[in-house]
Amino acid sequence: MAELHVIGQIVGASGFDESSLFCKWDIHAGSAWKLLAGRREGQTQVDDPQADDVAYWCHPIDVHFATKGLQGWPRLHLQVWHRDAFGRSALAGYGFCAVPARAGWHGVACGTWRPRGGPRQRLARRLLGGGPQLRRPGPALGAAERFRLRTEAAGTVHLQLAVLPRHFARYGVQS
Amino acid sequence: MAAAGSPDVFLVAVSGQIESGQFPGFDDLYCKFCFVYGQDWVPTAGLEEGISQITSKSDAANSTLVWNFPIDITFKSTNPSGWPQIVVSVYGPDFFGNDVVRGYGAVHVPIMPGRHMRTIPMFVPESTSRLQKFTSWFTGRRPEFTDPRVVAQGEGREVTRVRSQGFVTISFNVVTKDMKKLGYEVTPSDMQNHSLVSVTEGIHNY
Amino acid sequence: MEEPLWSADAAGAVYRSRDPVRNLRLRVRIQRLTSAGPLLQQAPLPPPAGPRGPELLSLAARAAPGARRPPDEEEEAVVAWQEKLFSQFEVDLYQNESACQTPLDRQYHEEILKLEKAGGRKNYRIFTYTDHDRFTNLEEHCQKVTDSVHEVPSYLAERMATVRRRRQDRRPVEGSSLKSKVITWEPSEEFIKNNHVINTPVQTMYIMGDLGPYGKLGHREYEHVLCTIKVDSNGVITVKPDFTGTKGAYRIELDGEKRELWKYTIENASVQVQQEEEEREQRVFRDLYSRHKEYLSGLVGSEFEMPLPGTLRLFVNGEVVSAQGYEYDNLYIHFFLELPKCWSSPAFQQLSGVTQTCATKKVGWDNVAYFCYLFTLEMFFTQEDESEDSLPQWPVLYFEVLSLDFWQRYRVEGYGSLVLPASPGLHTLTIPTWRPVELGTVSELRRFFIGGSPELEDLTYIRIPTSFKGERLSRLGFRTKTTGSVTFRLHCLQQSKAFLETSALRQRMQSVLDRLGGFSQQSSVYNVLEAFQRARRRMQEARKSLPQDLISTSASTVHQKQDL
Repeated sequence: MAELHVIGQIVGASGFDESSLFCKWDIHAGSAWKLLAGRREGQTQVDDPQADDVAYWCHPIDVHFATKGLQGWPRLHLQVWHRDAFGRSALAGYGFCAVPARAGWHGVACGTWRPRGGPRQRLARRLLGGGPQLRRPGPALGAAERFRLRTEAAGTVHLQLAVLPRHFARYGVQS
Repeated sequence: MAAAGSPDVFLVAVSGQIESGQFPGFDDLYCKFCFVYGQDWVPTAGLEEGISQITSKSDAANSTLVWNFPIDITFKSTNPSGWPQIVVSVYGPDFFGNDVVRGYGAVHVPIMPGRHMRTIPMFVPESTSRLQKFTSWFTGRRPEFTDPRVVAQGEGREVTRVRSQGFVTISFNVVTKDMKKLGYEVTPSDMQNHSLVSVTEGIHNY
Repeated sequence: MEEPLWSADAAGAVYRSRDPVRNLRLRVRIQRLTSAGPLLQQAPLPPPAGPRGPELLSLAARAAPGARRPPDEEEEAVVAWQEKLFSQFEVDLYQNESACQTPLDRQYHEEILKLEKAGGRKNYRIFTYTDHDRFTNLEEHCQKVTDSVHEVPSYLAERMATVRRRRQDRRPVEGSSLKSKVITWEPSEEFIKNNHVINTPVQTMYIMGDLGPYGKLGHREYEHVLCTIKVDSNGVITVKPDFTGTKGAYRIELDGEKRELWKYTIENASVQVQQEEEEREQRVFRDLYSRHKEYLSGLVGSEFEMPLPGTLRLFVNGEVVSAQGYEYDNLYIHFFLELPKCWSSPAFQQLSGVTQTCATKKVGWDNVAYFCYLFTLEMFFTQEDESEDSLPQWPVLYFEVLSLDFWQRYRVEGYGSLVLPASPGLHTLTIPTWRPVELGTVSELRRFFIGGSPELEDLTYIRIPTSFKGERLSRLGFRTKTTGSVTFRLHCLQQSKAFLETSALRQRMQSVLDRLGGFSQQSSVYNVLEAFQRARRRMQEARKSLPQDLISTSASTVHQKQDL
């Protein structure tokens, strides 16, 4: 079997309308992949930036996978939420990105989107906060179902991931 | 000392320095670093922690404080899980002269051999209520992390609320040994050219 | 002949050891060189005369007959960790009970009295200050780093000195910190004092030399630090200045009228680990590591799916990242993959996809829509005819960008295509697009008000239409308008048994050569092997052409010989 280490951090997010953001993340992989070490999911701290509109989390990611095949390459699911002064959480955006395949250090900028409601919901969101969320985010929202959604673009989440594959060359895989 | 046949451990040697910090509005700061690593890692040589001198801003470049504090450590490990991270904490005096924390930050030691620069954002814990904020400002007792090492971990952070207020630039020189023999693909540092410039700078420009 | 002497201000060295620090021993030798003349020849000295005679030692091999040195010109001592050797000053001071204030002083008093009864102390000029002495605290506090007269220790230095005296339990590196205690909301003074500096407990020891003139020992102004040793709980040992080893002795020059010069050396005199013990330790470590490796590989297993021999498997983790620069809002992208001949894909593979509809937002100058649509493509390439001259054609991804607005008006925003990259790795590609236009204002008005616009019937027209079989492709007469661009991020992986064979062969060759050594032999060995193979083949072919009876007679003669 081959192994893959993903070591890096979720640095922060930029371009969101709201401040006081935090991110819930998890890593999904196919059935051929087994998680050997590290946490597969987590939630960052809430950052309220002093100066500009960039929220910094620096949340470490350190996972170790073993795999029997290439299908189901790990991917990261990100949900950016906004926590307001009253302690309520509202969705700011969903983002999905694939873990890079090539060995090395990668700076990944993952754009996010959020479901877009009708005009009344949009007005309510602007004034009161909150908004529609996906009923089942994550793997249930596969590629086949996306066309049902209406979304709008939100900010960008920045990640730094270093990928360390092991023994892939033994099985003739070049990345 | 080398075992006959293929090695079981690999070595990672890190040298470099904590070069400078950018903290608009704060002066006379010193920084302290330590390393956090997993169970399979053992430092074999060098210094695991250090505390720098106190430095002030220059008259010319108004917001940069330069420490150039050296880092030098070698690790031995059997498993890349738990790759070492460097945790930096910066402290300085506030208006009343109390010593308060100005930022915590952490970053993984680069995996690829070669020279790397990393700019890490620094943040401090913050309370939600305004009254508590004012009291802590007034008495000089700002909230701090009980153990700065928590910044390098993922657990337990979901309840914390922080404010980011500065950056620290660190330069690393990484040399690894025997990683290729163990089957890990470690490409040389010329791979770095195609990836972005330090992400935080990119964010800044944005 | 004067040997070069190093200044005692040389930087220290940091060592790591897992052995208990009480096994540490240092040997310090100190010797006076007077400033007046050259190095005096040393002679083997007589054994100590009186009860207070210092332990002397013959230093060098050069022995000049007849030359004799005063007995306190040199001294050697082997010092253990935190071993207290008293100086003359301390002996004089603590002999009086009245001078003792703290329990430590009284303890010294007892020890000195015991020493006196036993026959005096063994060391003369070399003595030590341990961690408990007052000197240690003062020294740490007042150590000057610059040559400024008015240097005051910074408040950091004061803090570190305070913390050093506390013996704290070191917190584990990755402790399970309780969630409630992650942040200390109102840190106390004590907490601040401990946490803002390095609070790893450190134990210090100073090896000192009393360098006063003969007979005038016990004056504090002649005390000099020979060596500072700090050990912390991580097993880090800092020795300043470093062991002399091969580089030569350190020198101290005294101030004063005579400007006397002393030299000293420091050596590590700890008991070295025995050869067998060291080997045993190494074996234990090796066993531990190999067991760890076996455990890890047991977790991981050893299977991996492989493509059939002779096929190349192309595996692409793709992502439609964003679309930018388009006229209208609410964009979505529909793409499909076209596989040329010799390429196939597994049955479950979906070769097309549709993203969600995304409203744009303004980023910089552009209106950007983020899709984050992940797709996986898996294809196999089988080379059927090896003698073909042409290179394989790579699959092409065709896509169209469409917009769907509130009134359900649907417009084509752009068409584009993307050839999958031939090299593995990460590829971020931004493809500009165009849309067909009809000349004249009517169609543009129609597009604006009602929606709908000329579309391509066959999407492969974007590149080379599949129905095209000529040599010259002409698009003359076709009008298009440039629209925005779409960004794709593709992680391409290639897998094939062919990569394996070449690399395995290379590895096998290399392992043989590693044993042989040298790269120049590589070609010669290879040539020899090749020549051998060729000769063998020739011999086999020649053998085939030989008449059969010749071969059989030779075999039977051999047989007969064996029977005999």
